[in-house]
Amino acid sequence: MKKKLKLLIFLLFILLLAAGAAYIDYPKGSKISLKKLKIPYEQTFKARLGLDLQGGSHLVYQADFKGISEGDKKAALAAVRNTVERRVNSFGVSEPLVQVTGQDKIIVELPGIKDVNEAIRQIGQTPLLEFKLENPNPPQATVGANGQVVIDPNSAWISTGLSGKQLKRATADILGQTSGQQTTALGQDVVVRLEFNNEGTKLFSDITSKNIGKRLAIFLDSQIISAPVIQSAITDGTAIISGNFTPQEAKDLATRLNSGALPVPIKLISQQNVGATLGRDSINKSVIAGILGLILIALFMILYYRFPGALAVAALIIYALVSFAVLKIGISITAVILVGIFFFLGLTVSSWFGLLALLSYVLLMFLKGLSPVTLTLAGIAGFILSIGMAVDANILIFERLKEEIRAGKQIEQAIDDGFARAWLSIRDSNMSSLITTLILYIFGTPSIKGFAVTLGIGILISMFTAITITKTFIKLFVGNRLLSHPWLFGVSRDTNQRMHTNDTNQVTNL
Amino acid sequence: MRLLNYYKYLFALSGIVLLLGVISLAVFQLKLGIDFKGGTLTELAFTKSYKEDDIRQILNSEGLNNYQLQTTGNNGLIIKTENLDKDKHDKILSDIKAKAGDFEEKRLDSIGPVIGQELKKNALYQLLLVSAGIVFYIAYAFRRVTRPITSWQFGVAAIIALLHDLLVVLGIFSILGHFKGIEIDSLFITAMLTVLGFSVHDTIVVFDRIRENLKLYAGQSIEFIINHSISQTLVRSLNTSLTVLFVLLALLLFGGETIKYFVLALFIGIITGTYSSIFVASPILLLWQKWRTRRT
Repeated sequence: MKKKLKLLIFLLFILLLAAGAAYIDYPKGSKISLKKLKIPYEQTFKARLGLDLQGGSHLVYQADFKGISEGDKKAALAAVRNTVERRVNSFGVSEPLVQVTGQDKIIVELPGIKDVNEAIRQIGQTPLLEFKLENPNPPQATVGANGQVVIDPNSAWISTGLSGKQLKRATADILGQTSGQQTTALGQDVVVRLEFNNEGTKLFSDITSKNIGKRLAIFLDSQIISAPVIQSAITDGTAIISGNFTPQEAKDLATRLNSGALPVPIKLISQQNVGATLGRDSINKSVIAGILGLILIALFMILYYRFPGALAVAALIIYALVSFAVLKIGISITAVILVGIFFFLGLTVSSWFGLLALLSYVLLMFLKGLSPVTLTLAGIAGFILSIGMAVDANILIFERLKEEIRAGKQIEQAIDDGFARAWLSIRDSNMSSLITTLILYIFGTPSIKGFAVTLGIGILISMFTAITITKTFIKLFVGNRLLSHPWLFGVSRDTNQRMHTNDTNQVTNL
Repeated sequence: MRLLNYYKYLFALSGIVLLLGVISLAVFQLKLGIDFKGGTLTELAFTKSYKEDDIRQILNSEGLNNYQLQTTGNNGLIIKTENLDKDKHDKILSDIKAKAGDFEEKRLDSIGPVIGQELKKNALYQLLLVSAGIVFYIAYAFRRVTRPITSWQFGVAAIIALLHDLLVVLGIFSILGHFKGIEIDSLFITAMLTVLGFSVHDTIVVFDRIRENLKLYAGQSIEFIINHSISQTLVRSLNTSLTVLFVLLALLLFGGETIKYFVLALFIGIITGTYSSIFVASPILLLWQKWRTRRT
């Protein structure tokens, strides 16, 4: 009786798990709230969709490091990223992504953006501020191939290293008021006042003290907006740009300079847009494909493996529910490590550790330490693929089971032995797939990463459900004489005779 | 089941497929998609029917001559061109809108050559790493010494089976690429790697059984042992692959358009993966062992 009781508790547990997973899987998003218990926990679970399912844009920019020394590149790139992010945040896109990749590229992801072209225009518009000195040795005019005289306009100026990178703040200002000087009768001088950071102050002081009497050109987006003569050394780190601005122009310029003077220019080198309708289409199609696949597998398993097959299908459905719920709730490195350790202990030491694995995951969920997995189209394919592979473990177990029964063991013993020997096979065979998913995750594009994650998680969870859930189901029905008939397990009648003996010697089939 | 008696026929079948594939690879090579070549892919959904000639005219007038038009669904059109910068792309689209009719841009993939290079590099890294990982995994799985077939033999046979799978899929996609214009993209590489992972473990299942039986039936002939092992694992191998193929079939028929060839690659790959474990790896073991024993 005691064994039966333990099994029933296990079954109850599994059903609760399935119910919980189903609740979380509810497509429109589900909410769990413990506020009624006076615990301040509330969380909504919605599937996090990648760009190709939600619609949106994936842009890649390349930074042009001309004129930046090797050691400064990393800092410059980080600064550009920050600047672009400030711009992107004003687009009103939820969860935009701006990140550095490689040595010189920036990725911008705008999920659900309506007007990509406008966004690109605004990102690209971020002003590039540069200060350049007159080139004391301008190259001579050359005669080009077709007889034209060529003068390179840019060669008249050389960079000083002072740029938007060192700009701390720009303010529109009216000269008369702040400097205390008398204003001219006609109007006040509207200017833009620049304040440099420490490094900028030093540089500026250097430049101005060494080049008194020379021109310092101020370039904005590669166009000269002002080229005043340096009157004296400026050591307080402020500069004034005057250029017949109207108050509005000055304010605009100051805003542009503030919201990001790009330290280096960037170029759009790749663009991937997916319209929202295509995204929705893909989701619908995937759901249909998934359900169809499940039906085909169910038919096959029941026809071929009969009763255990039906149990396996039930376990498979629970697997699909739990797996998808995990994708929705999310994962994190801590989760993987904790659950992994407990699961491993659960298999080797005692099955109670398996419970701890589940509890630690749920705990992490309550602590909001998990982030949902981003689903891409390839990712959903990976999930559906994992459903097909999840059955593999069950098939392995059943084939072993049949062997054990044919070898003359009692059903109960056959089940235990079958599962034990099958587990080693399951573990080894999934290992190569897991290695592949790990490598795909590390080196793949976002779409491929999605595939690797869903397939990897799917394989891991399927190992868990195959052993625990299927085993529980089968063991529960073992006692019932009616349901223990070998035919139901797919074993043919002539071996039935040997089943009921206590002879546990292996009969070799030669 | 005296399967292996027919190994001559099996090799012939494999041989033919491989030969066709390799010839195609040498002559036609692989049709690289924009992921690796760089380029611009625009998918438009027109509201009404349009004239394809109008589109061609516009593209020609922009100086593009190496482009591809592909119709899809109702009034859908996929335009593949060399990499267009944003301005050119926008101009072409507004020209089309004016001349051919209104449309919605369903998707745009514009990959510059820099990214293309990088994706190619990453794909190669992935291939190398997964191959290395698999070789290590095989070495680990077969570390225990066995007689009379050595671990070395097992390992090499497994790798040959893998190469077979790789070449078959590449060959088929090379043929498809030439005759139907199907392209290789980074998802294809993913499919290949997944297939490799799957095929290895299938091969190892059979080999594990062979090793177990080498001990169990120590006196029997190698032929018998291998045959017996195959018949024992055949059902399991086939059933496992069958369930995965069901799921892939569903995806192929009803899944999203953009991953169709990804799923196709997986489908073909898993079929050859299963086939190679039984009909390529095992016969190689048998022949090799026979050749070894004949020498002594």
